[in-house]
Amino acid sequence: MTGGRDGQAARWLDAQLHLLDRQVLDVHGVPMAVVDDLELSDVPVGQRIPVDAPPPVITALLSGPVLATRIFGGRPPDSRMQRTPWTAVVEVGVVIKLAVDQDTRDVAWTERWVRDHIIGRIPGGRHIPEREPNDHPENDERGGS
Amino acid sequence: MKRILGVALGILTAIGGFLDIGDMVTNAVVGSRFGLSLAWVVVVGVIGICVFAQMSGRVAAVSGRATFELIRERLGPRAAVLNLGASFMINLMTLTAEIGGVALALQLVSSVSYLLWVPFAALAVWLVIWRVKFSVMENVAGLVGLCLIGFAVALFLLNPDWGELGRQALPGASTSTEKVSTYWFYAVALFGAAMTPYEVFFFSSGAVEEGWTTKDLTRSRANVLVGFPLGGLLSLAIAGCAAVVLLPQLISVTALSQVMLPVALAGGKMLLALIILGIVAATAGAALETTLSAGYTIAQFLGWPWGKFRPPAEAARFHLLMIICLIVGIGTLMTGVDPIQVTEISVVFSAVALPLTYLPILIVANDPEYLGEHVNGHALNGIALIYLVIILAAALAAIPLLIITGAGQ
Amino acid sequence: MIISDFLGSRVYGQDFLGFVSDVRFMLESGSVSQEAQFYGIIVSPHARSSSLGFERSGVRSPWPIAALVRWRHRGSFLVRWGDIELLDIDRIQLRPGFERGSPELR
Repeated sequence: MTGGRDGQAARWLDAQLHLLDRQVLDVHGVPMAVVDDLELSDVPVGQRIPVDAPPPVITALLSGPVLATRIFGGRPPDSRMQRTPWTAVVEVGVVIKLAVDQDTRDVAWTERWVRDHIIGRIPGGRHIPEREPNDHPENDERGGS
Repeated sequence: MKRILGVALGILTAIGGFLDIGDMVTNAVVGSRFGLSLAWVVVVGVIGICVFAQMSGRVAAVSGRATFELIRERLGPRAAVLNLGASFMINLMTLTAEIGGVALALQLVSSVSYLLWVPFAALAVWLVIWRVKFSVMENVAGLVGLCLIGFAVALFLLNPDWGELGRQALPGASTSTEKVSTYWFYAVALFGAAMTPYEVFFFSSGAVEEGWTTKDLTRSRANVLVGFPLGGLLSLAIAGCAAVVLLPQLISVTALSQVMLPVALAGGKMLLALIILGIVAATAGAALETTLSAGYTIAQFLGWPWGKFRPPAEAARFHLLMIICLIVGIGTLMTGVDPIQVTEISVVFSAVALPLTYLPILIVANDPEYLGEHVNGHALNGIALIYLVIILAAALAAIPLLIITGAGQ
Repeated sequence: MIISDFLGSRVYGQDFLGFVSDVRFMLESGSVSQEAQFYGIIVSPHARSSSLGFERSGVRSPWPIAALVRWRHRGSFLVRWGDIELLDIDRIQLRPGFERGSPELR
């Protein structure tokens, strides 16, 4: 049932196997975050579920400061996690590709902050390196593809 | 010429891996105390690193992704965090030691004190990481580091008794004065040095930096098969020189100058100058490799953009992290700690961290989701599994041996 | 609700059945432009940890590791959304007469 992406056969995605801990790339192919958790639509917690209740759906990918909680247990509160709506996802494969630019997303704020306040201020920080001799420019998706 | 330069990544990885300052001294120590009777460990280690570097190079070329990212995905964050913690500590200790090593080597050729060279060496390393193109960095550091061939030249010029050296190398040759536990301690240390985890992380990240694709699989193999055996041969040459000159006189090796003594005896000033050039390049190469590895592993684990192929502003946290590591390194060295002792300890901890590194690589290299048809064959899996057993044994024995022998006294 | 609240939860039918080792979602037409619907849970009777996917994707090498992971997750089965009666933090109750499906991803 791992059907093709042209949208014919149904396709299964397992949370741990295919989605959690996967790299997320933005529309330019630049690494943006790691999927730390998934947000699901209204799930009836603690009550009996009617027989024909519709299944919940994934509403967003969540990323956040999970390093300490992963080691010791628990999870950060929802307000500390940054959401990427499921509608922004264009491909789920070895990496998860989005249709949004990370400069518009909160989840990339630390990267922007370090860029604007530290690295961008050091001379040469914005210098674009020359291409390596072995480059195949047609599929330059390094560091994440 | 282009073909020779094409294997520079493998050469630099090997030099930074087992010809850095600590390993050079360890090899000389081993040669001066055990002769060549530990040579088999270098051979076993070189084969091991070839097996796993080949896997991680293939993974990087086919999937376009470096090893550490895949470890987090495949094994989950908890297992990866352990690996990350261990690797980062080793990287930090080693890069500190290498900056110290560059400063020590520069002190030998000038009359400027070592402590004054330390910030200068760290700044030079940073400038290369900040601005120099990856391929230029690997070509220069790798090829100039090959000046260490001077040790092999010296060995020939010393006109040793090859039969005696050969006899020492055979298993079962007894080394009179040393205890068995000390012998095995150095065996584990040499093995840990040959298979240090940051070598595979650097090699696979370097493959991504260079933009290797499925068309580069042969090139990846060439890098592995040229670089690491060459590194192994140079290690053996250093040990051999020490075995021929220092062992009979029972001269013990405690400083860099004693490592170079056989070369001075054999070839005089010219060869010595060549060696020093090689040592500076090799230690600088190791400093670059470990600093970049520290950046690569953290950035890949946390999902940050990384790589020298991006402008620093587009890999801001990656570069900031490396700057912080270099500053910590300078600070540590300024307290007067001996860089050589730091790396000798970190080699033992490398041995402990080996299983955490190599098991995930083996799992990822068998995953068709990342590698398609290029997954491991049965023969390679067989060898890799045997090595996992050896690695596990070394990891378990490392700390007890460290304690029992008091770090090889 | 967050998925990490589910993973590792205990699953009960009449008795204790196992732990949730994964949650399966379905894309009906195979494209991610659609919603990913909760399809079911994978219940592993013995192990809480991730199975590293070995027993579901059919990858068998390297064999000792694959064999070890399969053994730890032996007896794993799939339960569909329709058979879940009650969802609570760390406790999932299944309806009587629930069906055990194969966890294979085929």
